[in-house]
Amino acid sequence: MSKVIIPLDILQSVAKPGRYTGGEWNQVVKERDIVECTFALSLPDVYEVGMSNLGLKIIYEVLNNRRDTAAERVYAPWTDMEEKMRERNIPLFSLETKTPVKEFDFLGISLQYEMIYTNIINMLDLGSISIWSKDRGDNEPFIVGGGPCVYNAEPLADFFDFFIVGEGEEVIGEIVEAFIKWKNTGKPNGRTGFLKVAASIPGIYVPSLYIEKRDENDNFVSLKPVDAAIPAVITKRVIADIDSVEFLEKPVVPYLDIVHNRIMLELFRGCTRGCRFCQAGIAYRPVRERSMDRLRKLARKLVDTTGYSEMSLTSLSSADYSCLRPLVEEFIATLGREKISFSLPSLRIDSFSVDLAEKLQKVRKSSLTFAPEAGTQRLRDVINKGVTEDDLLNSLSAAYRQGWKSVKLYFMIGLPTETDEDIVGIARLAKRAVDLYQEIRGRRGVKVTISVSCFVPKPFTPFQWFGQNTMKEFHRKQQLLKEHITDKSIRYTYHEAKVSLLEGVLARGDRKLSNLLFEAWKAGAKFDGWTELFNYDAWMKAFSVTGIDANEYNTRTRSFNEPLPWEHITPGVDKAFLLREYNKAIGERLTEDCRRGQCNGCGICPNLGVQVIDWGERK
Amino acid sequence: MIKYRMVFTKGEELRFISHLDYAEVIRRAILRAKLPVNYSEGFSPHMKMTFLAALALGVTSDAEYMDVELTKELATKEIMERLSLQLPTGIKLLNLKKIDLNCPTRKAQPDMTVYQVEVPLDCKETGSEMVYESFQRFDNEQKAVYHRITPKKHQVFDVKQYLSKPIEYEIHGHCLRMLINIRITLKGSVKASEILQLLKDSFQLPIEKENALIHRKSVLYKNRSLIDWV
Repeated sequence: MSKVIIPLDILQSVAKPGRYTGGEWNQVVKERDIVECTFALSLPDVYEVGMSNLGLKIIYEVLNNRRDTAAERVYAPWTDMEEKMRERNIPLFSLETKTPVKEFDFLGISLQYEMIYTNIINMLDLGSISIWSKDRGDNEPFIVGGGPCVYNAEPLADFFDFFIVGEGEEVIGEIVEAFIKWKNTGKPNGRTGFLKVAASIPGIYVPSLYIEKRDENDNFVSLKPVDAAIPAVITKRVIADIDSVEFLEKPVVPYLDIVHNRIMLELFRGCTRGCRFCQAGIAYRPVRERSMDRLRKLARKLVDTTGYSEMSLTSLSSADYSCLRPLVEEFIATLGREKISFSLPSLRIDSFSVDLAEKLQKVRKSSLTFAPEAGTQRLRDVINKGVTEDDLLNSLSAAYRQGWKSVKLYFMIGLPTETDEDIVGIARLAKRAVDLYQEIRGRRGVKVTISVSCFVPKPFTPFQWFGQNTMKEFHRKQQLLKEHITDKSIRYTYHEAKVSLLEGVLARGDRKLSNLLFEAWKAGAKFDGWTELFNYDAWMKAFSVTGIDANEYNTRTRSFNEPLPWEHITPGVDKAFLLREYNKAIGERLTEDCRRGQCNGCGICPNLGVQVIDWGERK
Repeated sequence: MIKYRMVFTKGEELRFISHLDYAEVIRRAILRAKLPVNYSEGFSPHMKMTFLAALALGVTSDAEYMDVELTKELATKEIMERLSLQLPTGIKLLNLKKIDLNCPTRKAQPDMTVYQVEVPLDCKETGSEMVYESFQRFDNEQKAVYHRITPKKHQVFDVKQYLSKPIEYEIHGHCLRMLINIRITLKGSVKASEILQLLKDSFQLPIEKENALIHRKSVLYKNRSLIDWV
């Protein structure tokens, strides 16, 4: 094992050198001779973003709780640091022991969003690790991916040795054990030997053990395993007993301020509201709540080990936690006395949420955020948002009465069945939000921000067949909306359509896109999610070099019987359910939340052998 | 209310942690140590703790002074033990004293900081002659004008007004060691790194400034360490 020494003058010259020096409270450093397996864990974005990811924190702790394994962290160096590293031939290194990433047994990469894909290639290159998995030698680490993008991993298939599908707490240990066994028996059949063993672990997808078939027009036909021992379909791993599984107890507390610099207490996994555009809603099903007792103990422990004085009660839709009110009241009464403050990352559109926000918020000046997603009732029914204009107005009234003067509303454009009326509806709703303030407070002075993103259809949602809007159409809709906003109290921000269209290509891409990613990286693309670094020309060059047509992937509407390149992986949902939901969307019909209502037959519970856990039912 | 004055180190491991982030590290350590710390009133109560002299990024220190208010009196030994357990590698609690509230100088603002600098000599230049020469010129000048240029403003000032005595220096092989006493005045002060910059740019001191190790040794008031004033 070698150690990278970062010269002083480099640290003196780069922005935020604390990104690269490690040594934070609760970091785990283990001697190499006492462990049998080493993991470098990464989120291929800058430190402040990477350090904020809950999943990676959990895996770090689960791995380091094992005596036989050392897990360390590595994030993407910012461009100033990258430049210095390349200049002086400093390889990508881990924060804990400054070991070159190349010397680890595994490099685990969290795949949270498509726009970090080029950073993965860049990091492999900075680490002197072979970029293509087929070129990797026996002394190179296994490159492992996990996280939400794994539900369509195909654009990355040629760069990764394997992927973990679903929740990692249990399967990560199985991988470590398989690895140690393989290593201690003399690494039979080398790299491929281990990959074959890994492929036999439920939830592991080894792309090199599957062959893609394309037709004479180069269209995707099928992806089949090389032999019968390899599973044809990989089903996600899911934790059945959420209360007993390991959770964070000693998270690393950064020196720098990071994006989410607070305790993250995960109340539950999954969300069954059934919004039809939402991949997370399918990917993390079923809902499994932690018990109040478990949360109480975890909260105590996390406060004691971190010294944080802020705690976020996280989940996909935290206000849906069945015991939220008693939990919050108890926390305020106990931890509140120790000056711990609490926040809810996601507010439901109802007065219950506003009441809670009021309870939690000490200073009232900050802004409240709601996500109506669409401007008309018709379109909200299409996406199964389950929120009426009255719900929104009631929530806003409650917020205004309690003193909030600033609200933020999230919308999407480019949803299926959308017409100009729906776009104008966004402006109308925003205006209504402004007028409501005057009606309630008798004066002006509210600030309403509408943030409008461009819809990207995702695999394993009822909209997975839908053709994304074209650039021209997005731009026209953005302008149309702008023309209809006349009130000065409304601030209008919208996402760059170029980025959303690229995301649209990668989200539903196939293996051909590995080349596109490689060419884009070669042309200079990296940190694509950062507006100031997004290099559109590099991507255009990559499309032209590879001859890949973006429209094939993003704006094309697929037929229902077309083979889809992601169907060898499954979050457990039945395709028939997605199709049913699509038809209901077109028919503008709602589907009820199955958490407390009737089962809608998505198939996930029976397919995975897990149950909804909701403590509210058992009162 | 009981006030304590504490002296911490900021070691090599935290060299590149900003003063604000460093204060946050100490604040969290106090929370983990569960010391009965006092909070301000109001909407967002904050811990009553004050740092006495901010430290520049990239500088280590043996003299980070902080005053903190506790709601009840604890033996200094107990505070020392409980807090030390919660400090990360790179921070040591060197000393702590209860502040006598009747002590007239308890609000004393520091007027001097002492820095030790170790900086490699630029090998391309010719040895020690140049070092002696540039210091001689620096000492003989009435004024040494420095231009402090930040994104917001451009200040021009005489560095000498902030030096209470000549810079002490010695050469060890390829390395130059310096001891610099810098005044803190109502008008302001100068950073150790700014003095190095000036020596290099205006007095041709042959140093690799970007590899300088700057270390704060002490913070004084009327030539006595701040911890001795309570």
